[in-house]
Parts: sequence; structure tokens; C-alpha cells
Amino acid sequence: MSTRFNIFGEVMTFINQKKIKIFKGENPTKQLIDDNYTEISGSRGEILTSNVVNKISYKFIYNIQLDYNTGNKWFLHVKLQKSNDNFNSNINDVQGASYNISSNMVAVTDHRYSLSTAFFIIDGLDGTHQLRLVCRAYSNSNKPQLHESDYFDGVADTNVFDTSLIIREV
Amino acid sequence: MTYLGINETYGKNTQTLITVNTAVQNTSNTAGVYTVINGSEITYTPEANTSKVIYEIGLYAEAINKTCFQHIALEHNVSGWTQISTKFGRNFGGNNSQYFRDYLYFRYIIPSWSGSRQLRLQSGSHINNYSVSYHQITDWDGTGSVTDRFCNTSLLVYSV
Repeated sequence: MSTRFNIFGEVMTFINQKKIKIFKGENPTKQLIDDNYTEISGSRGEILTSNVVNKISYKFIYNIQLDYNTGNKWFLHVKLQKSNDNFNSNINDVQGASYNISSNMVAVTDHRYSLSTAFFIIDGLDGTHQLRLVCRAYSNSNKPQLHESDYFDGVADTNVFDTSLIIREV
Repeated sequence: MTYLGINETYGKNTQTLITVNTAVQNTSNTAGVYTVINGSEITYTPEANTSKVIYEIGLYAEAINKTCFQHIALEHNVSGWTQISTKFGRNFGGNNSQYFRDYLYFRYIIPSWSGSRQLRLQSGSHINNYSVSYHQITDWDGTGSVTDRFCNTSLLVYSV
């Protein structure tokens, strides 16, 4: 609970209910990732914290595999960013919220089909903020594709994995 | 994108731990020797009248041009540290002289208990020299030999 004063100086008490936002991506278009940072489709969400002391849990699930047309292995840098103007001009990396993910870099070819879950606890967000994941390939020789698999159910056919995002005040 | 919900409270007695790692944590190269993963340990008291405790953790792991194979065990401290259940065990790793880079996310649903109890994750291998390195990201932004970049360990525990 929190205590505030109205325009008449009267004490008003509020029960602060923690927020949760759930987003489901639907048929995201395949993203080919080169060595420039790109926002991962479906990873952006907004939350208004009810209390600055509360932390935020960010969890995003997406599919990665090799881009067969450009290489035989893949290597991705992934980082979480925050903004208070929907990433128009206020864009900040969340410190410590980044990771690498790659196929084996030694074998001649390694497709590695991966479902990655980015899960970070963040503090210090006050008011409305947007969060998103951006990624880039280590080099243009190591480019993956996101969201779309080229094989499923034993046949060479396109299968799209819908992303899921949960941003939760904890 | 479909909007599904807002303003719902989820879980009770939620506790979080953000561990800002500043050093690499290498597991042992000796078979059977386990290492407590930095940022995984928490003391937790379940909310009354709940039946389950959810333990969620995210952390970074890599093995550069070497074999790695690790067992992850979830432990609690009840008059000493023991595995909660072997069914909570998990393996990960790669083959000979491979590169392993991944962000690990684990979620466990644990039967609730009464009172305060410690929880943690341990990591080790059954074979010599199959160690892994946690937290340090050694290649970043297309550049090798990076030594000063680390990934936080994020831990979330709550009762349902």
C-alpha cells in the first residue's frame, strides 16, 4: 500500500497491485540477422511500475537457427534495452543483461536449432518504460535466422514459432 | 502482437536476486567436484496456504574450444545441503573441442514447506576436464578477447 495526498490535503491510501503484461507474437516474419543490431520482433513491451522499489521480470522466448543461404554456423550477440520514449531517442542498454548464443564454431556445418529464453530481473525503473531485445551476428559469416524453422514433422517445410513475452512487476 | 492481460497479481511472497557478476566462475576440472553457481543461493520462506514454490533462474555459460559437460543439481539446506530430488537434475554440454555459448534458463516447481529454507544450484561433471565457465562473455560485438563483460545472474522465487 502507499499513501498520497489529494488536492484538499486529505490522506489517500492506495493498494498497489503489481502489474503483469503478456504478449504473444503471431506468425512473426523470418528475420535474417547480420552484423548490425536489430530489434527482435515481438520482444518489445511496455510496463508502468506501481512502485519504484519493485523490480521487473522480463522473459522472452524465440526461435533461432542457421540461415542456410549465407553460412554454415551462427553466432549471435543479444542484449536487453530500455527506453522511456518508445526507443525514439532514449535508448539504453540494461547493464549485465546480455549474452552470446552460438552453434559450434569448429565443425564444418552446425545447424543447431535453438529455442532461447531471455530471462532478466531489472531494478530501478520508475514510471512507464519500454523494454526490448536487440541482437546482431558476430560477423556476416555467422548469420542466423529467427522465428522460422525450415524443417518440421519430418518434412522440409517452413514452420513459424510464435514468440512469447511476459513483463512482470515483482 | 496480441494483448492478453494487465493488472493481475501473480504469485505470493515474491523474492528476487540480481547478482552483478564481476568475475568468471569456472567449474572444477575434477570429476565429481561441484561448484555453487554464483547468484543461485537464496533463503526463502513459502507463503502460508500455498502448495508450490517456483524457482526461476537465468545465467550465462560458455566453453571455448573445449569439451564441456555439466550436471546441474537443485539443492536445499535441511540440516545440511542435499539434492531436493534427482528428478530436478539437468545436463548440458557439447562434444569434443566444441564451442558452447548459451543463456541458461531453468524453472523448478518445488513442493512447499514450512519455515525458512535455503536453495541453490550446483554444477559439476562426472568426467575430468569437462568444466564450463559461467557469467563471463568472452567475445562481444564481433570482437574476440573481450575480458571485461559479464552477465548478471537473475533469480526469482515465489509461492503459488
